Amino acid sequence: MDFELNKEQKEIQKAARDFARGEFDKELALQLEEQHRYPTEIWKKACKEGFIGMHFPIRFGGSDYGCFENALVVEEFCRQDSGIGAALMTAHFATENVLFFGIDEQKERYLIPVAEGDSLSAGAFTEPEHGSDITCMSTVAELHPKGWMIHGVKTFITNAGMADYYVVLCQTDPNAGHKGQSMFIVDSTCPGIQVSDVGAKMGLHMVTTGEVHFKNVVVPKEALLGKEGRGFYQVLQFFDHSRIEVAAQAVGTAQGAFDRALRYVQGREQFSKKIAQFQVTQHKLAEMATKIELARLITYKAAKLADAGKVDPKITAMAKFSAARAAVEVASESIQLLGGYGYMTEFEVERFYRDARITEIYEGTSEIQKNVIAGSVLKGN
Amino acid sequence: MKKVLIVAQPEDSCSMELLGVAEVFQPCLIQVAIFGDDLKLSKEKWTPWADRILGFEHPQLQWFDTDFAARVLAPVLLEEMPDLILTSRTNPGLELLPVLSGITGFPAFSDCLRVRFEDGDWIADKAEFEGKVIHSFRLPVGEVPICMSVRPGSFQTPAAIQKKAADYQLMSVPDHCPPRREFLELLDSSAEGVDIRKSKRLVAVGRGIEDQEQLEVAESLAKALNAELASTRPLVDQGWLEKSRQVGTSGVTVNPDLYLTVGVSGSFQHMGGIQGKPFIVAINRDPKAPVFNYANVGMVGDLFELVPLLEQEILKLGE
Amino acid sequence: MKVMVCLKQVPDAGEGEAFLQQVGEEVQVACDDWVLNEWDGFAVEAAVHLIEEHGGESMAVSIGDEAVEGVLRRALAMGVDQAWRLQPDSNSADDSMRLAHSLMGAALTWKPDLIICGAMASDSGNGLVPGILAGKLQWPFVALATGLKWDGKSFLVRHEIHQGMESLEKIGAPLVVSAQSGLNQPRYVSIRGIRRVAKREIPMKNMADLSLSPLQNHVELVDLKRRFPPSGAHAEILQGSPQEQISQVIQRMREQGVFTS
Ligand SMILES: Cc1cc2nc3c(=O)[nH]c(=O)nc-3n(C[C@H](O)[C@H](O)[C@H](O)COP(=O)(O)OP(=O)(O)OC[C@H]3O[C@@H](n4cnc5c(N)ncnc54)[C@H](O)[C@@H]3O)c2cc1C
Repeated sequence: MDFELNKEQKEIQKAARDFARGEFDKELALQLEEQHRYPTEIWKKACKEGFIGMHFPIRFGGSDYGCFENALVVEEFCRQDSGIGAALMTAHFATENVLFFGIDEQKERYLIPVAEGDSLSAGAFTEPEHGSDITCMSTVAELHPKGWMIHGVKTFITNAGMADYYVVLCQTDPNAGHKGQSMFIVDSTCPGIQVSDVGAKMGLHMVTTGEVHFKNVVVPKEALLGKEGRGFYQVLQFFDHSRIEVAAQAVGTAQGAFDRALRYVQGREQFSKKIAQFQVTQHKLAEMATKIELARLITYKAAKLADAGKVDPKITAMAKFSAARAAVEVASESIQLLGGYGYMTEFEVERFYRDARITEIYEGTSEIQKNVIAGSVLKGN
Repeated sequence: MKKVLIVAQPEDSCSMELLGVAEVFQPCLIQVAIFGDDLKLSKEKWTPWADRILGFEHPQLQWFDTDFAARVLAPVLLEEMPDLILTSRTNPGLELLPVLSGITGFPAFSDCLRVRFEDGDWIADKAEFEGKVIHSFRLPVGEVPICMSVRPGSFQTPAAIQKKAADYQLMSVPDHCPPRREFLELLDSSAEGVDIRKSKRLVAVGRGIEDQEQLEVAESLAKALNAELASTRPLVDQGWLEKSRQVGTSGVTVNPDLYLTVGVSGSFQHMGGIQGKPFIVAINRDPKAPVFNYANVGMVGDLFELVPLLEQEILKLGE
Repeated sequence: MKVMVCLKQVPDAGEGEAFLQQVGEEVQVACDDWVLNEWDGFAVEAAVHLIEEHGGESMAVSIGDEAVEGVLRRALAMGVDQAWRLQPDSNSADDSMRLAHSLMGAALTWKPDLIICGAMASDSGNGLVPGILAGKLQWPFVALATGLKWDGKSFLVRHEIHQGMESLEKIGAPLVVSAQSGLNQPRYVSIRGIRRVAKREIPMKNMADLSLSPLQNHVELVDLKRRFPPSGAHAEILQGSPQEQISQVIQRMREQGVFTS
């Protein structure tokens, strides 16, 4: 096993760090957070520098890097700012479906603009009645003289209303259960699409989360992404990759909270001693640092396997599950170390905590990850 | 006897300090090279201190063209072979010294802080990593002439040495030495904006302030103290504060009674802009920050905690 | 126009001094994290910008073992056209005169119109190499540039002189300039840039490639030890809780007559 980044990966990490330090400004982040605004300017710049969609092939706007390099960038971004980091990471959400299952025309049309900062993408999988269990969808796509007609409601959709297209999981054969699902790319300008708010949320304030109604939305034949009837399997394959990205988000968020806590305890004095000199503090720091390092190791392992073409759903699930837990615990301890200040918006760690919490929920809750892990273990893998 | 040649830069108010370096090499012959389009004043200034003055008088030297100066001086150095060639590590010194070294092939030592004679060797110290470490070198004095720049403020002009009366020698400036740098304009970018040079109280901010909004912390302290805001260079380079507030060797020189630094490391380029004997208070979270070498009183801690507290207390005094 | 930039890798100092370690009587620099010298970043940006604006070619050079490919690659990713790694003089890797000698070889071989260096390196703080290089090449040298333009015939250089003043000068090519902070804001290294240059071979040039003969009769300064400066020599460091420190500092300021009450 090789635990070292190669030179190029170090350069990528450094480039991401420089960019994040230079562009993610704390006051701006607090403002965007408060006003629930997307960091549009930073997103455009990040695209210009090639950070978004860097794992796309060069001819589709990317740099042909892998899941691993992308994870390094996501980690650095979230470390500098959990909110802006998450917003940039989700700018290309669900595009891997186009990347894996699309034909060249679709890749050209849907990947390049995302990499170049001209459009945001979204994935519409969850439904009000179907969250963790997506084996049967209520959203249906029926054959139509012009192609397909989609009808149904998707909820908790990241980038709802902002995205230029949605990757939608639909039931194309209502009698075939998960074997009767297919994926479609639906342009957000199609008549019949309506977006509504799902209410205020705990964290991730810079990205929109909404409900998307498809009311007899007609899309052409070419909107079908991948094979008819394979939608469910495609989503699973997609999650095996995107969960690695969420794990990286968690690692970065944990590290960012830790950095802030560390700085604080080295500066603040109580009972005429730096807090960092108390053993209670030191042990907390030791535990936090260990959790982060472990989370990072398994996340990198999952990414390396994915890039080697040996995706291991068990390892991916373990990475997401454990990194997300680490993020929540480390962010929570960071708040504790800052005491009263930790609870204040100004000191950021409460935001890291709120932003960390989503990593245990989206793209498969921790419980789902455990199902995957248990299933695999029981099968003897 | 050793020969020390001082290259006196026209605008350098610290050039007399170079005599302090020469003193370490006493007994020695002191030569001073002076430059300008009219040398009367500097000739008078140096006469009591030197054995010999080499005057380079030329219209091109009306402003200090270091390229021209180096080219006219270098042949003289090759002929004279002084043991030590000294100049101040000012901005023009940063140009002049290495060029002399490059033309003559004499080794160069930059930014000298101290020189001593120890066990038969000449040892010189310089700072590295922005003052975090001191690095010593042995100077091959006597083997080859050494070009050395000296940090202003590191040596003292000797109080009294035996009165000398220098021979003056007007050096011929060769014709084959056409000027290569055309001077167009003198720019004083600190001329616009608030003038802090006369302020009696200054609150100086440094990179401990990480973005523009955070300046407010220091601004309100300054207001409570009825002080002006001063700054280190990086904040000015970022465009957060006017150039006229930059204190230091490439900024303005101030002469306050109170100088309170906040998140300033205390580089010599910054501290070099403080004149007189102000009462210096430093707030920095790094106990090893060089600023504590200059300050009268230091507080080690987070500025974002200490500065607001200090402001409150001052406001309570109701000044 | 041909512009050459000279780069140095320096320890990533960050904050603090973890990379400086007390070993016995001396302090050693222990670092495996190297970065581009901050001032050299301004030099790269200036070179890339000049070429973008006026056409031509830029080249980055750095002297050292394979490790320096890191900073060269960074410059390539920022948009420099070519890079050479120069083999260090076997006698001494960090003697300014020897460094300048190698750079002179590169300059005489590649024949740039302009050489840009950083004003100094953040580790040694010397600022010697650019001037020595200019002296050896017999080219004019301007230190601490805060502005650099090409008017079609000459370079217009704005640079720092004494007492916070700057001067604007017109100088013909060839020329050596050293870059001061404030000259520009170096661009980010982009992912596409890193990708573009990832597979590029960086040629190594030795003395023979640069038609250089070894430096003769050069006497070096002898490198002795490093140590930490005595710290806090002057200041009275206040003790106690922040609140107590504040009361004391107010007291001291009062003693100094800062407050009338
Ligand atoms: C030719 C030349 C000319 C120059 N001229 C000038 C000049 O005229 N004026 C000038 O100022 N500089 C000048 N410089 C730059 C100078 O060398 C230093 O880089 C600069 O002064 C450092 O500024 P600083 O102290 O703000 O930053 P830093 O050196 O980065 O120091 C920041 C300090 O803040 C402390 N800190 C950080 N966060 C906190 C916190 N939360 N609470 C408390 N403390 C904190 C850190 O411990 C550190 O000591 C010049 C440089 C060159 C090469």
